[in-house]
Amino acid sequence: MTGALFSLLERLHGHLAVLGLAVLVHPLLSLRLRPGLSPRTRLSAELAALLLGLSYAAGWLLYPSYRQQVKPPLRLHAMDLLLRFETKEHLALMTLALALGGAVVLRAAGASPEGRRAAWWLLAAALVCGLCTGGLGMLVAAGGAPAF
Amino acid sequence: MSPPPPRPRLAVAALSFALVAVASYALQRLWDARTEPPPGAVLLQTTIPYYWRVAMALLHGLGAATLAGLALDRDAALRWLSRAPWLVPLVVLPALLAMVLRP
Repeated sequence: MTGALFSLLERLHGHLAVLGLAVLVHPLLSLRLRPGLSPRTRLSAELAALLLGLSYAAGWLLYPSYRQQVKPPLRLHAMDLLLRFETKEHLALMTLALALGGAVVLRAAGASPEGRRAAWWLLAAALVCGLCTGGLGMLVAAGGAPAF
Repeated sequence: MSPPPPRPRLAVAALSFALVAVASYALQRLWDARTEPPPGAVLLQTTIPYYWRVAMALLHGLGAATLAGLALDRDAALRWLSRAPWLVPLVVLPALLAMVLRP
């Protein structure tokens, strides 16, 4: 992968993730504050899952280049950042699985109170994991700037 | 526009997928951490461990979703959905803490 493509995908990865997390807030608030389920709430949960999925896909494409080009200098000079990066990768998968699960639960059973409650908990857990992922991502990108 | 009728079996399958994938990934990572070579060791690996763990976690999640979707009837699925408020934190919080404390 060329350096330009790596940079492009890296920025896309981060921006899509931030956008996905921001969109995720809408169904969380809407499910908590409004009775029933509006089509927009369902749509925003699905859009959030899609954006987080696209961000994850960009990260998936970046990972081999990261292992070859970025990880070795980080291992030599910034082991702490390297470990934080690994945590970020673990939490990213958890975020995606929970957001996808929440969106499907909302689609399948959003008409019932049990379904809405289950979806809310899955989406809330996705947001918590996603915020941790995003925070770690920013920390690593800022601290490992020369390597990235 | 009225919402579509609820499909609790599909919903419980999605809930199972999410929770089992999270738990499976965390357990695999903790297992890998026990047997990990020291930093700086030169290794020839045929797979990327992260990809392998993700693939396995997704497979486990899909397996659990299939089982839950097929094995539970509508009433049982609704009962499982109503347990989400304690089931989700019970699975996700320990996994989150484990991944933060053991990168």
